[in-house]
Amino acid sequence: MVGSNNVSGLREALAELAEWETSRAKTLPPACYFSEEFLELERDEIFRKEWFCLGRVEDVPKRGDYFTTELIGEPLIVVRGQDDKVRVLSNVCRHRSSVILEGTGNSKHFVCPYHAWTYANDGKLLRAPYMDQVKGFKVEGCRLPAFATEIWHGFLYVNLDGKAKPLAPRLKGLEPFIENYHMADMVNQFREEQVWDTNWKCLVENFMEGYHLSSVHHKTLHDITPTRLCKKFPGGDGFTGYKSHFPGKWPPREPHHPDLTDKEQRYTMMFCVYPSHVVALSPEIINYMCMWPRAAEEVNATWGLGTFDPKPKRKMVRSLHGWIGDVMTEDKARLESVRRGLKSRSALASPLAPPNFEGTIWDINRYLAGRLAPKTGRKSRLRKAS
Amino acid sequence: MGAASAGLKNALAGIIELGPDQARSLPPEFYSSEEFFELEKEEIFRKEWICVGRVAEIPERGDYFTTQLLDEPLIVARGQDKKVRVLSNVCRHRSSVILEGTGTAKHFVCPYHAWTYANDGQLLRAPYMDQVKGFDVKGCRLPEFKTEIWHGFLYVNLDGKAKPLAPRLTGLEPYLENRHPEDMMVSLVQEEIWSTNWKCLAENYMEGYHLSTVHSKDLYDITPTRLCEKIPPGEGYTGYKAHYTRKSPQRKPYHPDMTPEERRFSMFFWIFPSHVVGITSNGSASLCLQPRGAGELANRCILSSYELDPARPPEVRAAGFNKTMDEDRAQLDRMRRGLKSHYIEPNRLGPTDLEGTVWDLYQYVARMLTPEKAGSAQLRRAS
Repeated sequence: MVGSNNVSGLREALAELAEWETSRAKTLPPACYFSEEFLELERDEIFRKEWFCLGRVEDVPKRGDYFTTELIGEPLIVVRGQDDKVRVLSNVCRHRSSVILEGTGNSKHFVCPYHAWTYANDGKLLRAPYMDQVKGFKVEGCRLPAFATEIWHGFLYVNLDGKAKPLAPRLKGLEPFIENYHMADMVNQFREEQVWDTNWKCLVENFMEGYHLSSVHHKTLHDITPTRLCKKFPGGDGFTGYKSHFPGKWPPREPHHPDLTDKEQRYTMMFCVYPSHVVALSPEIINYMCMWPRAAEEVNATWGLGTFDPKPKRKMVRSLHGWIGDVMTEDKARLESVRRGLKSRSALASPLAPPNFEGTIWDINRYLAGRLAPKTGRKSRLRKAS
Repeated sequence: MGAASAGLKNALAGIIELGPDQARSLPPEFYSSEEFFELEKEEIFRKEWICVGRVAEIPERGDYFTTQLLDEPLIVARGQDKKVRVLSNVCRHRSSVILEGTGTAKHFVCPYHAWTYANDGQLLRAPYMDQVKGFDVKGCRLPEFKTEIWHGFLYVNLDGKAKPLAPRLTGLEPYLENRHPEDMMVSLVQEEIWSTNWKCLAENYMEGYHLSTVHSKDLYDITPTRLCEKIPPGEGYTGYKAHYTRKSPQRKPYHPDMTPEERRFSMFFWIFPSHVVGITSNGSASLCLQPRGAGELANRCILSSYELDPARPPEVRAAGFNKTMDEDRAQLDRMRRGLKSHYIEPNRLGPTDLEGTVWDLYQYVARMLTPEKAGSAQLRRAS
């Protein structure tokens, strides 16, 4: 593998990795996890171009409901307009670039706190004090930019550059595995944003591999989804995943959708919609995370939990929240160790565990190679050079 | 190389031929530039012998402590074969740090996916990896770094190319042989983060000029500035004697080999770049400085003595020392703020007995960072 830590060296390494058989599956070169320069490339080639999940449409159930968020530095408003349509708008005033809204709320109008420019909740500018005296300025011609969106099984995705191909066709291969759960019918109980001190890929990988379940989560997950029962299914152009089976003695997880087969009731579907939307879909609950990088070693992580039971007992939701919180605390400690270890010069691109346990990481690596490796094939460039 | 490093290298090349009677300070960027620190990391800390602790900290088979040097997490462990090793504390699988703190273990288990290593670094077990074609557990081990033990102190060399340490330190032997620092017992190990450049703390520890002012209440009566006496430096070290005032009571117990004269001073020595030790007549305080940036370091401090009073817990034994170090910390904070000023001009250092050790460090850094210049100066001196 090419040893250089600069971006072109790392891209060459990815090009090489893309040509390997699965039997040679390896981790990425360590610098991919701490190089700010490599992150720049990921921002431009992945996060600006891909579909990125911001949450669930039911996070804004009523007209005028909104929440604010951010994606690689773009302040965003997710809002349901008076026409019942869910939009993702730029949260930046068209006048002097102030961020307009904070937090969540319900409103027909968005008033910028700086000079009181006022927008309708579909983004259209309605009022701009004294601007009628400015020749050539037209209130009607001004609006907050709206970004491309797609809704898939109740999840809301945004695409910043507006050029991404539709998402659903890329996820077709996932449908047979998830259709009986009826994810769109599950009811979200909360949505929270956190910042973790780790590279975004470390968190995605950690969520998506079953190899660590029995060691890191010995107290919280091993009894219900041990490593030994993990089974990968084939990934596709836009996704990868595995089934995390429950041991025979584990009691039924209820209530769940009546469509679920006997088999489907006995595992959690773990899947990743590239680049960074990860989901744990269990018979009775759905738990998801969406990650985007704030810096090479800092990630913004949004997570939420939904239940099949539309009105679960609050005590039950609290205890689920606590349980997932404990699992995340265990992961945070491990990812902190990985952050420190990756900086060592003895860190290396090393062999991954068998496909059932870490094959998802190999799929992710190949996805990244497809996006980030130099566009002309390595071999053809070598030919040119000779 | 950037402008700050180039300017400093010029300044360093310019002092190599100056004698101690011309000793003067270096530009403030010597202590504050991150860019220059990067250079020090590559040219000094990766190439040199760096002390990480004392072998007496891990007396039994399986004893280990963890530490970090630059970006390298390390395990210092005594194997089942009694040998002391410095191993990379980074799992060969997904690069997680394996161990934290100190302990005793035959096996080191990575907390991420339970890869298990023997305490000599050999991989013993990696769950399910027998299903991975071409992966050989026996062929996998934690990288081991080159080590040398000198008077019970353990040194590590990251790039593996350093020449043996002991021959560079033979000039120090006459000052140490009767004190037998290797016979001392470890009283306390404490690791603290200091917000200062690593050289500022090392210089402060190694010069007697500030003793009577900064430590007027606790050290002035015992080792005042006026009684400090420098020893001749060597390629890899410098030091001075901090003589005791006549009225200060004899510190006991001292080693029976020590002469009456040796019982009446503390020996301070500096193994370049970052190991500084003060040996009184009855104990020692050794600082292993591990820089984390131009303005931050981890100070791994080990207090030792010939006898440990079981009635006094380690924190009590360390109280006096730590009070003195607190005075230094406050002083170094004043210095940190001062070094940012734009109006600093190089000035003369104090007399050789009092601040000559600082000059010796400058010369050492100049030799390490401008080897061509250092080589030609040496040739001229020889001819």
